[in-house]
Amino acid sequence: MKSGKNVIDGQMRILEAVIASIIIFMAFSAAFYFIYSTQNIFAQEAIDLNRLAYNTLHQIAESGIIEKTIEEETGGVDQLKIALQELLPANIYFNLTVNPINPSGEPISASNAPAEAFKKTGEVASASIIYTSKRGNIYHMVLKLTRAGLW
Amino acid sequence: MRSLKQNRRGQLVIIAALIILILMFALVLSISRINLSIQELEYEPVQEIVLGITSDFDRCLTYALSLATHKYNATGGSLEEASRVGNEFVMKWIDATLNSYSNLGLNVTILNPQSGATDIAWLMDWDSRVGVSCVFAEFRLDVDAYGFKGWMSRSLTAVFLNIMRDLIDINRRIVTVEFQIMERKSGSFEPISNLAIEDLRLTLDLTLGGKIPVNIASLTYQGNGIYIINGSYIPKDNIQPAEGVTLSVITPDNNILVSASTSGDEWRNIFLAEDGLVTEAPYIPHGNMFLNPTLSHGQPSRIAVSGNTTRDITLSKTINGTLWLTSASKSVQLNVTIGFTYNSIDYVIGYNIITVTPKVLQPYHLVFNAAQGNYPGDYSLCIPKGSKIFMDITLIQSNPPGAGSIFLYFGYNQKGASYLSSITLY
Repeated sequence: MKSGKNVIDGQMRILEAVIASIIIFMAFSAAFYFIYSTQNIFAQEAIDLNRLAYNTLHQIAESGIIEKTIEEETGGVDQLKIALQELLPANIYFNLTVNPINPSGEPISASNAPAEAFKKTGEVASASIIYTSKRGNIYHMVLKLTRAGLW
Repeated sequence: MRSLKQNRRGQLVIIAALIILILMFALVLSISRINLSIQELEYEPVQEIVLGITSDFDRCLTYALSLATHKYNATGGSLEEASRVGNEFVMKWIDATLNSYSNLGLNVTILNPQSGATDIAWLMDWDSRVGVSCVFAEFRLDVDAYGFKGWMSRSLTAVFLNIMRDLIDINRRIVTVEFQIMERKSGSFEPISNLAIEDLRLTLDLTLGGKIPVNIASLTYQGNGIYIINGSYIPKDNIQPAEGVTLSVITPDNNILVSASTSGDEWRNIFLAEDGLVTEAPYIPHGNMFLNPTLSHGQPSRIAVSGNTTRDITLSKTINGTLWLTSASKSVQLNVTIGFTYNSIDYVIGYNIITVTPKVLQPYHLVFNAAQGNYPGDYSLCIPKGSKIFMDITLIQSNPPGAGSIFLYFGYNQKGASYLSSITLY
């Protein structure tokens, strides 16, 4: 009878060891999943955002938007904001700062982001470009991007 | 009781596994966070930064050319003043760029490709039938922060204005001018198609001096940058014959001024271009080596051919030419022949034999006795419409023998000295 109990105990140990192995296996599987998928996607997203930011700046430079909005029209910041919204996907928050290279020039900012958007999220891309307008004004433009819903 | 103890022993194994799981997750999170940091650090937007700066340098040169051409016009043709104004803006742009990217350790150098000096090459040639406003520079860039060194690009901005035909009707006081305007951007010529009458200024040039403004009544675009303008003028009291017209154009997009005149000395220069073509275009951008590939024993003859001539070209009895040549390493004797092909038959106008001195750049003056040349039956001293002009440069001998190259120089240096290799047909 005692011998039978020992056999059952032994089987329980084996069963518990199997359960423990399954837990460890699951832990490894989950670990690999996290390492090779989710966080890589986040990292890639940040790089993609940077590329998107540079592409957007180049589009602004090549299309002459700065001349049409800031230099030629009053209230051009709103026009600049509309132009950026057309260039960027809907789920992207942006903040474009245009700094004239001129001591008396005031920086101009166009943004669709809530006040804390760029402080609360870790996924912020920033790109800058220098731009010479057809009127000979030189600007340093800095574009920050983040995805809506990350914070 | 004993059974419970034994069961607890088994549960401890599971608890140990759970602890291992938690530790594993903590470890995984740490590793992945480190991975993320590394990936973020590895992204270096060198390409984007370099292309951004390079493309803005083109815009900078375009605006600098605009400033320079207006200064050139205001000063009555002072290339020195025009260059100074243009250079000032480029220097301002360099300062702005260095300040904007000060965190990247940027190093920007602008070189005049002809002289090698830190300078920019400017050209405003407005006195002939084809006018040109041009700026050219080599742009070198290092980005120390990314260990990126040695980027070099060449930027050329130019506007060409070609007066193709001008008709002055003295009785009706009407002037008709056909012209073509092209700009060179990003390595290709593009027609300017959006001119308005406000962008043009046309004057009638009088033989004894003085100009009469022409009121432009219509401007018609023909395509490919070609326009026809019609205008009228009010003659001055003292009636003088008109010598020709001067047309000035301000490009609407970039505000670059260019001018051309039919009243100056009429020169028809033929040039060797980069691709080996002779062209009637008045100007090939600065630099050398426009005989490409260079002459050597491997290729003892280079023939450069023009496009079809658009009208009969009556020649002088004596055709003069100048080639600025140098040989890389040795004395080279060349035969320079000019002629034309008409109805698939070659006609030789004349030839010269010259000996090019090694390592010394100097002009070699050519004199062709066109009166002794061959011409089609009904023509004499004339290149018929539809011909192709050619220049054949053939190696006769070199000392010492062996492979070598000659270089044909072209354009102006930074002080305005001319290396204008050309042949004047009439």
